[in-house]
Amino acid sequence: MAPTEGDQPLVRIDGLRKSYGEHTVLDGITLDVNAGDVVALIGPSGAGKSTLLRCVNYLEIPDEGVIELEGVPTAAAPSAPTKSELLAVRRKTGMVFQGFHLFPHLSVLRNITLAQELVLGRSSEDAEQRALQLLDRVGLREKASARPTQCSGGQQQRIAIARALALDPVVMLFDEPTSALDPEVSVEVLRVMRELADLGTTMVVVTHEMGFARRVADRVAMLAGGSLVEQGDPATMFSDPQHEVTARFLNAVFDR
Amino acid sequence: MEFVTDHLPTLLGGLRTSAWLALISIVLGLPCGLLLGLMATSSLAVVRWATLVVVEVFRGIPMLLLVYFVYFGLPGAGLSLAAETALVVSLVVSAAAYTSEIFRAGLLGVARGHREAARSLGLTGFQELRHIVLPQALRAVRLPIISFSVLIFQYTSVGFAIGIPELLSRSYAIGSVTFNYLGVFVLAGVLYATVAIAASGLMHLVRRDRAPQVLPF
Amino acid sequence: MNQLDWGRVLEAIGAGIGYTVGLTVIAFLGGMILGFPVALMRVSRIRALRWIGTAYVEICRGVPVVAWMLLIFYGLADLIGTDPLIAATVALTVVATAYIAENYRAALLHVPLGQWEAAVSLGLTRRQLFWRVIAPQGVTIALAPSATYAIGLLKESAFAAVIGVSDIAFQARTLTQSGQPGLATFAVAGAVYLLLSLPIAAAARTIDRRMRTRSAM
Repeated sequence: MAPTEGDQPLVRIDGLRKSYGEHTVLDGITLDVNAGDVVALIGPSGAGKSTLLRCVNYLEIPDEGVIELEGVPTAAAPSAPTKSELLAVRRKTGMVFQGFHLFPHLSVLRNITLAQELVLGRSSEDAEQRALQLLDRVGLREKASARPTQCSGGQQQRIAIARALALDPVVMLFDEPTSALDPEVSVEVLRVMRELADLGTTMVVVTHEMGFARRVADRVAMLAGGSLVEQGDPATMFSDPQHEVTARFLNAVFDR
Repeated sequence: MEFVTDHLPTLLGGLRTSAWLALISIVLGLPCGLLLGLMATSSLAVVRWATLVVVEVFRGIPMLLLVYFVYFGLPGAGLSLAAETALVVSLVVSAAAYTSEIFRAGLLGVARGHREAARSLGLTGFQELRHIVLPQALRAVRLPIISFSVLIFQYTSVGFAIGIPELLSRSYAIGSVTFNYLGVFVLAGVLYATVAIAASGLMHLVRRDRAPQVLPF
Repeated sequence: MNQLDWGRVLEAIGAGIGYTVGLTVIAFLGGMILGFPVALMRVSRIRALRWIGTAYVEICRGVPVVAWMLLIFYGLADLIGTDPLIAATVALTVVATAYIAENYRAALLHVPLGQWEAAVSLGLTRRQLFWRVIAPQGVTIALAPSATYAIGLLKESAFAAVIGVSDIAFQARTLTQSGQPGLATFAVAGAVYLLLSLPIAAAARTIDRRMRTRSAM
């Protein structure tokens, strides 16, 4: 996952809007993510963080606005991507869900090899080799032949990360990856994510883990009511938020 | 006892006919049921509704009437079927309609998250169905499918109404000669029940979660 | 092909409705009453009782309804006489009892353990606990699936035609034997069964909805 050449952002989001009927979830979001950046999306629930992430992966189709991956618009007209455009975007973006969503009927190894073979057309040997390498990286090689249900939540999430990484995406998207986990197992997932960041992986992380945002993120973006309120480096933002909403949110989180 | 040894071979022959009719109907009916189940979960509302209407109509008609319709009714439209064919057609239609509901529930039961995860990995709709949704759905429905297959086997007894020499017809024939109706029907009942109880034992083996089977305290 | 004589067909099928509905209602009520003690045996901690209950359910469900009709009509004529209506009622009740017993059983086992513990902590005796707390809940929970089963029973009742009860299916078959066109006659009969099942389905839905809102509170 080498950083791309040139100075254009790896992911460029411009004027993104999304609503469900009357309810506006994203109200014109503009955000750039450079290669190698780790961006933490924070904000109260209902702010639109997850929807934003899911738009980048095209699990949700934005109503308006532009998303560019590596300088290429992901759809000719954002409201109507073709099937092949959808697939192309999903192949380039790796998504990690709050609920892991490992496929329960497949072994851990098969969870990681399946899409490599189906989507990238890798041979089963190559896919397996890559999967084992990634399982090594997340520290779970011994679980290769286990079933997902035989793994703890923290292990399942690390496997889910390996599954997404196996397609060599240009950007990894994490949607509250530790929210379903107990604090003591969250640590192992956060450690894997931190190692990824250290390796230069471009990551966008929706998170409530302010400690992680502070230590690992290059940039924190605060969303509220479907808008990007402010963004900046974590130290500055946490100590000196520019907006009332951010200050209130951070107070609430840290006073817990 | 002599009665049993005298007539058991005839009844076993009938059982074999019943089993064959059931097997053919199941083998043909289940794929149709799966197809209808997929159509009933289609994203196109028209397809979904049309399927549900067809399924409800065929589920709402008594098996006997369906057999009458196919065997005595269709000739009026120029389609005369042999009794065995008519029974199999009725059973296939009925199996497709009933199992489509089972398949539909199984398909809808696959967690949304798994579909999303498959999509986020870039799988096409067909790959998602083939590798993620179907394996889970089929696994989830195997118990109700087994128990419905037993029902199909039992419904082959409708063959009695149109003169197919399956288990029940042969029992009746023996009864009308020997006048030992009770004996022969009990014997037939034992054969039917044996099949059902064997299937229920099989389901017990397949079932993983053993919920408590007696009341506490 | 002859024309359908609507007057004749509707008159005959109308006459059959009473038998169909009567059979269904009596067998259903019989099953609701007799099913409960069978279910109690099924979940009893006394092994012998459990065994008897299980045997009853497995055998009665394992033998096709048509076979029950024939067995009772021809086999037990000495015991219950030669009226096909009585034989059909007994046969259908025997089967309904087994199916509804299973609904009671699932419902009784479904009452959460916490309820037992809460009742015990209040100092109720075992007898009070069961009859005041568990049984009422079990019966209520079993209502919705049993109402759904009543639709199945309505359709199974058509097998009474095989032993000569003048229900809807029997009337339809007789009409076609006396020259009415089969396709149309059986279609009308099928439509009548569908219409009869609508109010039962509506009742089942209402009960189910009430249960859900109640358990949500």
